[in-house]
Amino acid sequence: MRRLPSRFGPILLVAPMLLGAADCQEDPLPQIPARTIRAELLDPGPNVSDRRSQDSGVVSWGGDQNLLFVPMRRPVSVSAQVFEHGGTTPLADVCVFLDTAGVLSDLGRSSDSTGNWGYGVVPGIYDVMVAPGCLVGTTAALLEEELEINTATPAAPLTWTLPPALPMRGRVVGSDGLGVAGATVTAYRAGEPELPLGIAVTSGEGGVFAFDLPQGFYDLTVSTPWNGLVPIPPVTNRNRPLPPAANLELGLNLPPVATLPVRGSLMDGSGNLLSGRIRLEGDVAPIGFPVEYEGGTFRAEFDTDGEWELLLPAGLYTATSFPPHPGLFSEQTLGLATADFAVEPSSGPPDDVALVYSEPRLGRVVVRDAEGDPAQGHVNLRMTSPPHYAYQLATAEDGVVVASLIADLYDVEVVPARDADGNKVAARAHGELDLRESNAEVDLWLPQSDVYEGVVVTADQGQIGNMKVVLRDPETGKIVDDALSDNTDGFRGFFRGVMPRAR
Amino acid sequence: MIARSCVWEGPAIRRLLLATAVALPVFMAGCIWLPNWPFADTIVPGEDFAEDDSQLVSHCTPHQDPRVPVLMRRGAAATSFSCRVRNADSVLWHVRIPGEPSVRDYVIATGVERLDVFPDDLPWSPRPYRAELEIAVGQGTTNRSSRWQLIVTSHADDLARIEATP
Repeated sequence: MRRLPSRFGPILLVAPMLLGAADCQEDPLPQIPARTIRAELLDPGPNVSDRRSQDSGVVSWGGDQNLLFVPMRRPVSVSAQVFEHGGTTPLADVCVFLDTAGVLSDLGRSSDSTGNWGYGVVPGIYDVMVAPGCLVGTTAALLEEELEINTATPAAPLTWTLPPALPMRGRVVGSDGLGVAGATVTAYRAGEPELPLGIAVTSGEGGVFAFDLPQGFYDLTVSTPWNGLVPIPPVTNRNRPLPPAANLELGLNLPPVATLPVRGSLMDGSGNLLSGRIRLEGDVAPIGFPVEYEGGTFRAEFDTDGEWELLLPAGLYTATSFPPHPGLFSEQTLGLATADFAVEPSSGPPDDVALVYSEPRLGRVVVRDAEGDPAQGHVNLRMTSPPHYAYQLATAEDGVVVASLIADLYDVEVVPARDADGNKVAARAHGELDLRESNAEVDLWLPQSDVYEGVVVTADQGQIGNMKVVLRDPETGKIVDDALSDNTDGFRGFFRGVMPRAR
Repeated sequence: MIARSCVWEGPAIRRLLLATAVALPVFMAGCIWLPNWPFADTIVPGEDFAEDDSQLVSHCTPHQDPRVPVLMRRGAAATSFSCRVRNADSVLWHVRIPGEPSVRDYVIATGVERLDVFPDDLPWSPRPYRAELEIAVGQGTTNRSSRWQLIVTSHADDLARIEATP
């Protein structure tokens, strides 16, 4: 196919007018129906300043010979300097997280050794979190909401100055009046449970802990650390004004909850002990407590070599173990293991908690072309429940994939093979494979598809090369194709792929 | 359906005037034609146009840069990690946790170019922690691996009471 230079356009446009159209014949219908598609653009890396990953929204393709135009918003540079309280001392290596809608995933970058921060971002309105210690230290993060970044923003660097923080001390106290060492105390902004503040400490000898905090209202949680080795009931203190006035020590009192030792094992169906990862969730209920306590969820997650033992507060527990992903060379041979158990002081220590990996299920996927004949390709299988493992398998010559998998509902995506010349022939097909109750099979037909040509373009930059273009069904959001825009002089910005025919 | 309306049935002079009125600005636009702007004048994709598949792995999003950590907030939706992988024999996705919690390294996916990582699937800890997500791609004797830096945070309601399964 060869396109005429644009300078011939006026002649082509005017010619039929001059010649008249007395016969008033209708143009023939386009040979391929038009359709819409949702496009995403993925940039080649952080060191490119003129391209940024973004959602380009829904675009239209006229079918036949028309190009699919995928618009790109040009990134703008924004810069800032981060200071300690007082605004004179710059802060180095501060994480800055940006969050907004319409941009692919959260973004961020840390300040350099002189406290300067700069990044190229898609114009938009961002929530910004400025976090010394990258949220894993003991310094409170600064939150700046709805910062508009547009072409005018780079006029002057922004200044982010951390608020003054006051020192405070506290103490985790058990029901016996003694301090509890090893507990984790975590602070959150009151009413914003999902936004991390960046302050989490471990109580020391006598239950004492300390950190610096800007004046405000906070939620504080007290819990066992990740490994569950401190057997305390979980406590959440909400909406507390902190730091306390007049340098008072904050007391975090734990309710009186009995603890009992619990032993457990992890094994396969034959009784062989296996190493693995165990997640514990326990409902520590308030029933029977002499003091006001709303209850809570005891959480812990740890590795075991097959046998484990923990001291746990009274409650109803669920233990879960995710079998390891088989990696590259074998199939999933184990399913999930779960066990419920109760820790009740009146009944004494519970029996050993046996976590037994279940048997995997057998899934079969049959891939067919638009005519129903066996088709080749790769089949992506994605779990829809934890641990959300994903697998890719190649079809056999008969278009079939058989896999041993964890019992779950799977999203199935077929990436069709190319033809002998390396050309794409069909868009991706999607379906579900339900292995929750039993072995199952699914037939997936590749859609009738059309080859298209597109171009990535901005209003002011022209054609943009080296962008990965991901096309999704505008209704389901499923990926139908991806392509790479050309980065050579002759074809910069152009790409080619396949699109499913409208149903 | 595309239909052309019959406005051209009047006297020839009217047709000529109207055609001139339409043609003039179009012709003027032709006068300021610039070669290959804003689009290439001529493309022959059938002959020369081909995707660049020379890179084993590229176009990773979010960006893989030690200075660009990805925030994984417990309770939030999945974050989609993806790369463009071409001609690979193997693709392996790992989660690696250098400090606490104790789970050190585990495989989470194979083969796929795109992986949705759910913060709630990552090991739980009341204390925010650093982790790495790695994609390792192999082709013959060539191996490429690169990593995303993750910051995994907890949620204030993690410890709120939920009913356990009886």
